[in-house]
Amino acid sequence: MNGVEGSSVTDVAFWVVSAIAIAASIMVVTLRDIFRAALFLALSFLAVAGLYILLRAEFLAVVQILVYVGAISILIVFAIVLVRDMPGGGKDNHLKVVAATVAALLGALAIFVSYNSDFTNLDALESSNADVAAALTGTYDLDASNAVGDEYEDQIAVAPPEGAEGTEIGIFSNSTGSIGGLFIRDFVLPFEAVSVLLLAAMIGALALLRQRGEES
Amino acid sequence: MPEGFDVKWAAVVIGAGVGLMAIVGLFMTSWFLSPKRPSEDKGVAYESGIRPGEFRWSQINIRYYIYALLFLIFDVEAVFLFPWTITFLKSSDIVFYEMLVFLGILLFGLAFAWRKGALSWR
Amino acid sequence: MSANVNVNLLTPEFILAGMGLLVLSLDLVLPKARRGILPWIGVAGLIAAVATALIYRWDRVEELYGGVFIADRYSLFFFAFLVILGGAVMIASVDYVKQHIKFPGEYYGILIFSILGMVLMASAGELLTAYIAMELLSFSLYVLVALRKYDSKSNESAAKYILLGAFSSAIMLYGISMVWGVTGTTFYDGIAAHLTANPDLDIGLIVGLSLIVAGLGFKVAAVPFHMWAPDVYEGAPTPVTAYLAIGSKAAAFALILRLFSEGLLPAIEDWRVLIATLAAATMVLGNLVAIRQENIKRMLAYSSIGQVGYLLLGVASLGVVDAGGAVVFSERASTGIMVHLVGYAVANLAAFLVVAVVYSRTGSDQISDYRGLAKKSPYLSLVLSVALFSLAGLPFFAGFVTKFYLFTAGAEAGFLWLSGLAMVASLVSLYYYLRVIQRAYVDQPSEGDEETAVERSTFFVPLTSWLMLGVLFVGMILIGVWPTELAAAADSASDALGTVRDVSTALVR
Repeated sequence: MNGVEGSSVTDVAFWVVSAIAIAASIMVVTLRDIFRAALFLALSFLAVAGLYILLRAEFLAVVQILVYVGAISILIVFAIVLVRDMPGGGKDNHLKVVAATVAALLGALAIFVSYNSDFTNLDALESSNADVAAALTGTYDLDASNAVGDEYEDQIAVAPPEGAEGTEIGIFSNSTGSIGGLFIRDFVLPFEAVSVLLLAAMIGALALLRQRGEES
Repeated sequence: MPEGFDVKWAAVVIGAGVGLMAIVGLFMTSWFLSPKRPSEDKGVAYESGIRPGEFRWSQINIRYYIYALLFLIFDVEAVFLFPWTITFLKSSDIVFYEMLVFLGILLFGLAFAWRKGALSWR
Repeated sequence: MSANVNVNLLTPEFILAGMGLLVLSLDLVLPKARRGILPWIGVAGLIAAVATALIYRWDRVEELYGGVFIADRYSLFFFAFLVILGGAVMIASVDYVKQHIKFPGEYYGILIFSILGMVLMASAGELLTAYIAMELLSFSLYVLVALRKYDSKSNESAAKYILLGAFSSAIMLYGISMVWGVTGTTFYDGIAAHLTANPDLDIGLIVGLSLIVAGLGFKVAAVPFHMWAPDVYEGAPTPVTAYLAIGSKAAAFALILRLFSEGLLPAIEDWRVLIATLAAATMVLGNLVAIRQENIKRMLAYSSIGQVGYLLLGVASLGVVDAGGAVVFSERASTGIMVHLVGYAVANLAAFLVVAVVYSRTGSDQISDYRGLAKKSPYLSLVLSVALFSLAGLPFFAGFVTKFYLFTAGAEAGFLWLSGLAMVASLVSLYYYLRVIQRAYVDQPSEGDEETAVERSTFFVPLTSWLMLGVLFVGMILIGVWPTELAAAADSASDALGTVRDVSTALVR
């Protein structure tokens, strides 16, 4: 909830969006019609995107909408229409109570941990918007480890567009820029590894989905 | 928190609300204004078409799923493009080539799919 | 700063990625009849990658990108080991793929990508990079497991593997995010610094680390996260099963070893008992359940779960607290883990290769069908026996020496009870290994018995598999009687762990 304190408007927005997210998630697991459940899943994705915005993680919000609301939901809907219809939904499962208990326990654990643990890093994020890049890289101190650090950091670390004052770019904070800076600086290697990963996934999916008689 | 964070997002929320209300309002208006003489024939999906059968569900071709998956993969690629676009102009040339490698590897996947005939509809 | 040198340091990884692309492209242009050449091109590329790495990185100790990628003897050891392992799996798959799999190009290309993922796991010095490398490996494995797509068992096991794999990755990622939230870093050395400065662990850190351990536990199939392994191993194409049991485990342990010795060592008092408990549960349960298995792939699956228990014993012994209260890194334990990984890999690959050859002749994986193997093919049953003896840890074979290293390290670190338990577990494992060997050598058909699948079939061992089995056979004996070179290599790799490295950020701009 960092980032919303001290402003009643964002407080209200937070509660509304959270309520939508939770209600939609409950619908997903309780609805019998799997198709409607998928639609509610998309709604809950959307609400989570709203939470990201309230946390000032605009880039994540955009990713959430593009990938989850846009693509994953479509994929799920496609998967549903690929299988046969189940009128009235699936059968009751004896593990319902167990599953609910486990979910409740895990939820309680997550809440307990978030309240009791010392997420110092998040405070750092909030206190200094300009240092987002530094905070994201954590303790890695560019200047100490690298002689050309200063010059280099000027080049790429945080790059607001021309004419933007300070660190804030209109409605968006600079999280996108800092993430981009990390991609091209410290995390080039995993970044390129991701492309190989996506390639492997694509090629594998194509091999598995091609129909009999089309293999060559 | 940056100054005016909520004020600026409030503009977005209000804009979205106005847009939504315009749509809802249009439908409501036409619903109120239109004369209503319901009949069974008007209720079907295609008036004067073939009456829909009993089975409302049909399995679709798995090929749609291939396209959905490819869409997802290139969607994720697009996600990686965004942060790059706002940083690469400020950076040195190598950053440009880093992205070319990234895109090249994925384009190779597309070419592979094409060549294997996964994109043609048979 | 003309630091092109730094990117050149990644040449072996570039070669691997390039070879994957090359194999896939050749699959597109070559006519169907000539695609048999693909694995050999791949193997040539792997050899080139290993040679480049050995020549180029022999004496280099460097960190790229501020510690994201670490090039040292440890990375080099695992680079050579994992790439050779991947190449061996590739050669071992040649006959199987020809017979059962319709996508040779995809199979070998994705196999090479997975090798790239494995070596990145070993040299990552940071949690997110390690995670992405692990996902590269996992995604490739999901595809490889499913590639026999008209076999319903392969489909079932692929579905299970994907679901549980995705689940465990998510758990691990959640753990990473909590660790980052508390420590503010994902770099191993940063985590170590945080742990040294704050000896009282924050609740978020405890939960985060537990989630990471659980996620990794799924990947290596440690009890209680092992449920998926037997089903997946049984249904996957046999060379892929071997790869799952050896490659993905070795790579996961490469990651674990670096993470625990460079990142989590300062807090060893807090996790060593947990890991030791996991180790004990894993070796006991894996070996006990293996006794009851009738399918040889399931049996080997449970036996490899047992082996994970031994390796976890090494992880629990990674450090000892000296009189002054300081944590001392135990090189013996890490050497023991590496040596045992190599010995286990050679023996297990041999065993699975025999199973694959037998399956391609008989279509059966049942242990009861192995009766008469010694008569039909003395060579196969000899290699199988040696492999199983080596897995059990009999003297003169690889397993004895490597277990010796591992268990002594455990005893030295104060886990005498666990080392004792490990020896008992090894004895148990000898029992069920002997059952297979008895089946192959001793059992005679009694009156009225039907012929077994082996006895019905005509046997010949394809040349590639024959040669590969020969190499593995020599390897098992060689490690068993003359382990000094291997131990020396592992020793120098252990030296590299935890030593201060030269941080050179790769600014090639």
